[in-house]
Amino acid sequence: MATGQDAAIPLSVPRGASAYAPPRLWPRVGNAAAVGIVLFWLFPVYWIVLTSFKPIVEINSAIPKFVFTPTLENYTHLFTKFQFTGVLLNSIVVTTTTCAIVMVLGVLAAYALARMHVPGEKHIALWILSLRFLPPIAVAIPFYIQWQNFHLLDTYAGLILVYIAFNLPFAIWLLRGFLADVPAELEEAALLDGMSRLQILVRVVVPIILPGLASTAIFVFVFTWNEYLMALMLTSVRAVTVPVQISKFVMPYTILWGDLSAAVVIQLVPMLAVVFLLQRHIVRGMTLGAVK
Amino acid sequence: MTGSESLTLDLAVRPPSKAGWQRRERLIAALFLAPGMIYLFAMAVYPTVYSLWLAVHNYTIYRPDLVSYAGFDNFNDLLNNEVFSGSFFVTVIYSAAAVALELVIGIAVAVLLDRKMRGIGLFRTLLIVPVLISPVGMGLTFRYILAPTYGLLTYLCHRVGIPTADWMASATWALPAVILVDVWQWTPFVALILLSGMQSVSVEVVEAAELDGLSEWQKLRRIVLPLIRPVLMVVVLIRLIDSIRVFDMVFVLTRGGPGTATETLSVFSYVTGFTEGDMGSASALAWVMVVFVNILVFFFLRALSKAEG
Repeated sequence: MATGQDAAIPLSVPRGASAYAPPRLWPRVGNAAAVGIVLFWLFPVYWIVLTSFKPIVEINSAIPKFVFTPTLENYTHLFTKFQFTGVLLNSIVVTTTTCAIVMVLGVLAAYALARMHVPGEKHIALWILSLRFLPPIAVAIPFYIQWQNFHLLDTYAGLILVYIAFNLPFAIWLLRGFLADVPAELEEAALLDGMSRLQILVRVVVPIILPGLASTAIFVFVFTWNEYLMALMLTSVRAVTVPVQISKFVMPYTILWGDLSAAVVIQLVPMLAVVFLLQRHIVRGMTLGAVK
Repeated sequence: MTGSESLTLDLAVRPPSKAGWQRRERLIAALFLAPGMIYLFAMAVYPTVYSLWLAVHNYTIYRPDLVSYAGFDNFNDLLNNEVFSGSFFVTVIYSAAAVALELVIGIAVAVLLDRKMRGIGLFRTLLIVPVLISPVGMGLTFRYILAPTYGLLTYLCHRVGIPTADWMASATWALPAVILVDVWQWTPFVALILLSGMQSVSVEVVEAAELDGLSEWQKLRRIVLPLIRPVLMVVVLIRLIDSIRVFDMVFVLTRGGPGTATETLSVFSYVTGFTEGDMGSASALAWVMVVFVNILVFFFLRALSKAEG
């Protein structure tokens, strides 16, 4: 059963206790342990957030401090010295464009696979999903060579083209699952009304699967926002994304922990919004539909 | 007269026959599917094939004009290369240790969080946070915590009197440290999915087990875990495949060092291709991974089909 708290924050994460959950001998000890393990697991995140507000002198001090006068100097330094606004903008442009294109291509393909009797659709769908597991390094080298020839290195387009390919398999698979859940009667009625397939997709189906669309888009967003390997290889100056810039704070003889921690926190902020937006579908998305 | 006219109009709007309608449907399906499929062929399949072409050629990044056919030389060189066997070994240890720990701790955390408690939903949600941080961010956060002079863990060890090391620079400790970070990032992922699986176990089954007088541990071992086996398989395979391909976390923590102590196959391939410029060997290496990963993907797809029912 959902408790009052659960209802206040409608979560996707599993609710209540399972049938299996044993009657607790020491419920308080168990409760404390459950809370304790989560807080313990979040400690590194807390620590990096704390570090981002520390004065530079405290950051490299041999006695780590939990209490200090918080300052924004790491953040101002990050934006004034390292032009972080530009980097942030790169990430935002690349991520949102990728999301938009993946969703359009993904919905069309997924709809055909889920609804239109494509011969061998199950095999096609599984093959598409298998592309999600391609080792990035295997395609990174060909992309590097080709982008060099096409002058696409260090451009938005170069990154976006690759990211679409990386996210499309996963998106098609997830969307196909969401579409399969829509009752077919609605579309049959629309077909009888003389609507075309495209009209049905846009006017009937998409509004119904909007939550599924949103969570698929958010997953694409997370993967693209956090991607490192391709961005590292395919960008150098102009199109550098947030993860690449963060890793650049590790310099040959020093690590700029102040700027680094501030950048990590800024990168994390949209993810926290995601946590609360993803809600209903997070487990389904993470298991590629194995758990609904 | 008017009646028959409207009938013809009606027929004109609708495809005349069932066969015709089906043909049209198939055409539309193909049109819907084509953009995505063409894209994937051009941007995923073609690069993979191109990578295979590179793997059988001598190709250096500095003189692409000097490309020459190499046959299986790149693969043969790998087999005789100690760094490759070392890297292979590192990857196997990394994946096996990380996934085993994530599974064991994940089950424990799932059981702990599987309870009725005010606000438990909030704590479950918070547990997603480590999964959503970029591996780069997570890796570097731990690099700060494990840093030799000012790291928190080092400081705490000093206070308690445990001997410390420059973890990331130590041939003994670097790999365990990198595995620790992987475990930190992905255990919540495993735990949350298993928790969902546990919730799908029906009340009747559990009550029957209770009537049989099974202990809590027996219920978990003999009833619940076998029942959620399909989900368990899916999670383990996703984690195995992803950990075999691991790059970013290792790269920001150690760059594969010290020496080659943490050089996983992806990092080794990156170094070979981009630092040494030997794109042919790097591609051969990448293809070894493609083959291994695809064997696991085969089992994964089977497990997924089963889990979906």
